[in-house]
Amino acid sequence: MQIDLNKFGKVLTSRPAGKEAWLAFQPKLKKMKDKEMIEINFNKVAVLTPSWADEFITPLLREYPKRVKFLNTKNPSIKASLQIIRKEE
Amino acid sequence: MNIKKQSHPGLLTISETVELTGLSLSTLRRWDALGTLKSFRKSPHGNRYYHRVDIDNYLLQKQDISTLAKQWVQNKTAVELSETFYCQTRDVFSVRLERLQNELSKAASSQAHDDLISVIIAMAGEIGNNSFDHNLGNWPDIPGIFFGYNSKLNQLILADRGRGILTTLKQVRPMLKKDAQALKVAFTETISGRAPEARGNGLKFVRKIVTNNPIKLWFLSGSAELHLKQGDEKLHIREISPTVRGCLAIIKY
Repeated sequence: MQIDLNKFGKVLTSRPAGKEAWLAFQPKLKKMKDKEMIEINFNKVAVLTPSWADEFITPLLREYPKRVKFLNTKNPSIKASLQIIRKEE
Repeated sequence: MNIKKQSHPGLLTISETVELTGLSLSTLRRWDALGTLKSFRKSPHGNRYYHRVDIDNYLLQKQDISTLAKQWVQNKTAVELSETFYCQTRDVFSVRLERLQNELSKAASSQAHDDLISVIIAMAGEIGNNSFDHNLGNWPDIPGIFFGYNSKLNQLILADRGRGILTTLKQVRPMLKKDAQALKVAFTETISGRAPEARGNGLKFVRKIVTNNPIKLWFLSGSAELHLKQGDEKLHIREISPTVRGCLAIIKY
């Protein structure tokens, strides 16, 4: 399954927005097959913060360890945010 | 400086105007006579007053937004902010932040410049949203934040009149006594005033961004000021006076 994060916005910064995105994503997650990989695509996301990522990426990594793959993470705010939240895993 | 909102709403005395603008009394009088910056009197022989909005506009023309923000967080009593800078709610802040990202990104001269804009906006997002996260339902006087951008100086300014870092962190670290200690903890440890929620990365992220990029940061809370720049391994924190209510962040790139 691939999820295009730009569907939640181009500038992903606040915790409430991250939490809303996580809730909106739940129906799709429930339909996922066993052992299916989850590809998180950051294409066209201009800004990511650890606060937004903590509400969306952190629970995903916790619930599906080893099944989450990140795509298009060149943007430095995305890179830095992922590094800081993954340190907390 | 103590602007009494109750007695002179939206007005400044001449001495307050001197302090806020850095102009001398004689310059203010001359400009008044010339009509450059007009004052008024409540009665024919009464004191001179300035409309707050006129002074805000003057500072805006001068692009001295950081002075405006500093005065706002240093005032003992709350003063109203110009709509230009005031984000009462997180929604207003988010819209303005995204708009700024869009404008700066369009004007970026290279990929490296655009990359820098990306981390600058991320930092501003963390700092601004922190103000809302940590003061929700607990704003001491004015809810919301000051958010301004100085295009001439490449400066972003964020400020709040919230509870400040020390009061927030004391909830989970009651042993903390000084603003400087609290600032150090906030920038070095993963700790949140909203524990046990999984939070507390925001200012560590800000530190990492600043030290890895051509950015300077001044972060003030209470009686402490932190100064951070590219390549810094240690935090430089000093005591300041007058103190600030809540937090003030100046990001320069």
